[in-house]
Amino acid sequence: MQFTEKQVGDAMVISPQGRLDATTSPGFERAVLEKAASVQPHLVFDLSGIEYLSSAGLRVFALVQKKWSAAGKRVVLCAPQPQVLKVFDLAGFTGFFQFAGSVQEGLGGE
Amino acid sequence: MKVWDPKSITFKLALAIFGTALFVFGILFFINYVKTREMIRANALDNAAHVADAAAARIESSLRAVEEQAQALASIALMEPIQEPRIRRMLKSLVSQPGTPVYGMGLSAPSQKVAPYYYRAAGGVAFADLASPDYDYRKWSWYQEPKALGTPVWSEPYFDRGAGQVMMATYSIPLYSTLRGKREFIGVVSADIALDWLERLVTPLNVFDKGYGYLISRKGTYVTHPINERVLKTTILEVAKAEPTLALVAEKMLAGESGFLPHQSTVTGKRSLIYFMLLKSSGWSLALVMPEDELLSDLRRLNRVSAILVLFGMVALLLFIVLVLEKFTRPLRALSVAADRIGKGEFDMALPTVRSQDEVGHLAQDFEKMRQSLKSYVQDLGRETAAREGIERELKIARSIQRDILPSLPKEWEKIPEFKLAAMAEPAKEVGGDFYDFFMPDPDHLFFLIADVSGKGVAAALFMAMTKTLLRHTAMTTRDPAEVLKRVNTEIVRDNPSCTFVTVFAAVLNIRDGNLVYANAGHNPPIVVSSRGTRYLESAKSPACGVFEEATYQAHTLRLNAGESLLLYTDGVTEAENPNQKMFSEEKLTACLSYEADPAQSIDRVLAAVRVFVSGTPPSDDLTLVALRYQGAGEVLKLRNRVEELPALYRTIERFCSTHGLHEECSGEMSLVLEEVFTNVCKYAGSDLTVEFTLSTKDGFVEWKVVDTGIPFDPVEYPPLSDSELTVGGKGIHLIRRVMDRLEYERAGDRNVLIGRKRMK
Repeated sequence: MQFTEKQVGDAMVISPQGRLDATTSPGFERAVLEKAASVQPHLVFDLSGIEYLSSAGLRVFALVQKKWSAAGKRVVLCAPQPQVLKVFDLAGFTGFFQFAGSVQEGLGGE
Repeated sequence: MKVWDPKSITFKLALAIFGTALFVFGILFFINYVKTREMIRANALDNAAHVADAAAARIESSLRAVEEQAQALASIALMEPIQEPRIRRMLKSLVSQPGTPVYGMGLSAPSQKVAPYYYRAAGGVAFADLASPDYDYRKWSWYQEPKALGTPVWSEPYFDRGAGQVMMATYSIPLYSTLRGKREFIGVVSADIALDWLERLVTPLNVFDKGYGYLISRKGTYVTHPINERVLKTTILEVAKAEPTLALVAEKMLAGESGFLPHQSTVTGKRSLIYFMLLKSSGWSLALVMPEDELLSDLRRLNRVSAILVLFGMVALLLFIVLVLEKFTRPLRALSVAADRIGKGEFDMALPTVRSQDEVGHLAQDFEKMRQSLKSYVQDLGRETAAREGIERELKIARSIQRDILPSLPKEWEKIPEFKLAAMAEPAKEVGGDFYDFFMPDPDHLFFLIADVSGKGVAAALFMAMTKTLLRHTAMTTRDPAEVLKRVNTEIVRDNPSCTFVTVFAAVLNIRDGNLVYANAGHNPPIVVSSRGTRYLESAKSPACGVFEEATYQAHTLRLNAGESLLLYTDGVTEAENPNQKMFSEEKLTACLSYEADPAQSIDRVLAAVRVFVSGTPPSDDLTLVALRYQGAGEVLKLRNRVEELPALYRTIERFCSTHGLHEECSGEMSLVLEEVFTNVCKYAGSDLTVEFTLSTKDGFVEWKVVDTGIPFDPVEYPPLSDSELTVGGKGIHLIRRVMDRLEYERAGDRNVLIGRKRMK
């Protein structure tokens, strides 16, 4: 799983690429937690690069969302492709996340 | 590999080195041979010339001695008038001198009566008179020739028939007196040399085995020759007629030349070289014949020795090469044997020790490293394989346990006509996170669910086992699926740091009236298959269980009509991918479904379609299906008791039979019987009544119940009629009794309740 991250103000923008499924999500989870756990900045995920999201990938976002909201920080999911948003929708998770149309919007929303 | 194997390095190297050495030696040997040959030949010729010269010198000196003695005698004879006694004394003394080559001497003067001649004879010196009439010196050429020429001359060799009776040559000096200024011939002094003497001088020329020498006179007559018959009897010119190679030799010898010429000797029959030279004093020629083979015999001997030495040298070289190479390649061969055995798995075998620091030494060190790496690699591999096999074994056990966790269809459910159910689950790996469950908390209700744990494999399977137990346990305590999901969610969230979640669709069906209460926790909406087509069973967006504590779940209600079906599935079905990474999709799934299909048949169709679609692509997610068909508790129909209502009854009977898969004959009979019952009620029970029909199947019987509020009438107790008594109505009751297997009547309050049963075919 490839992804890039950059610090914008007190938020970290993470842009994963490709498929986030049972094979790739454990690595992604570890990497995200390692990079962000110590500081716990607000997290802004740029989901535009995700082509496929499985329930295993969904779990990672659920986990991050729970941890971050417990710490009083925000998690914003930006620009998901329709099929990705559908997965959130199907699992009934849409209402538990903050979505934004773009990264810009996601950062501004804080 | 053996040392002498033609493919071995030792053999090839030995061959190459030996071949090269042989080639170089061969060239050296050849050059040496040519040079040596020239040298030896020149040497031999030199030697031959030297020997011949020495012999010539000896002959010359002998002839000179003869000449000198003749001159000595001549000068004495001229000093004073010839006094015979003195001459005779002098002749005698000269001939008897020891060591002199002179055979005989004489003075032949016409002025004297006696021509004294002294010669060697047995026991001393003998006297002869050359003037005697037997001999008469005046006719001999040794006398005439010098007299005619006026100079001293050697005669041709001849056989002397005078005193000596030997073969000889004579040196003659003419004597002249110059008295009163007038030169006057006095006589001839002669000195003879025996050819025997010359023969003795020529014989040492036989320096070679088959070589020989000979002398010829000025005219070519043989003076000496190994073939005695030739001496004096023939000339070299005559012999040359038979010996072509001798012609040139003869010509040159007679011309007084010296030199070498090739010659095929008839004496020895060998190719030879002939050396010839002139003896100046007499004009004779000396010839030395040397066989070529003997001339070069030294060379051959030398060559033989060289060849033997070279042969020994080569054999020694070959042995040396082989020994050295054998020593160098021994570790290589040992390594090769070791490699063979290591290749067969003997990793513990000791490698041959190679102490040298050369390439072979390095190879042996590398080899040892390789052996150790191989050994540890194979050991690791063995351990890993064992571990993997262990895991695989355990996974297999886990798989069968998981399969057992999923409920199988109870046998007794086959007798429950209200619904038919089929289910299957196929994990993508050995174990998976999908599951389903169903049970009847009471005889009127069916609880069923389908669920999908996020992720897959062992982690999902463990979570699945826990969730499934939790769901079943909770469902036993409440009939409200929303409540079940809520409690289960709360329970899981309490201790779920990994945020693994599970989507669940849970429902409770009242099998008596088809009432379905369901709730959905983030699961794919099931598909409803009705006679009007397919549609999704929508519900409020509630999250999957296990993550959000605050999640709420909402129960929904749907009335299932008899014959309608539900298909529950997980995303493993709709998201099954083909080789082009296209998903199976909901559209293809619904296309597999049809209203009439049996649940098991529906599942088979879906599975078959998925298999064709993925065409061998390994599944990426667990695949689970639950199909439920509600057959209904029966048809309930309320009619007014008017014959116009009959078509509605027919329609209901037809629908009932079709949804219950009843035989056509059955529907015919049922129509016949119920039409009778209904028309009876229409005609006799009273006006404007309500008639309620209930059609159902139970325990292998088709059952109908007719309830009306008319006057009491018990067809069961209606007396049987004889055939002649049969009226229209009576005939109908008779018919009903004959068709049905059982017929029961009850007057319940103000109602007639008539129940008929017929065994299903």
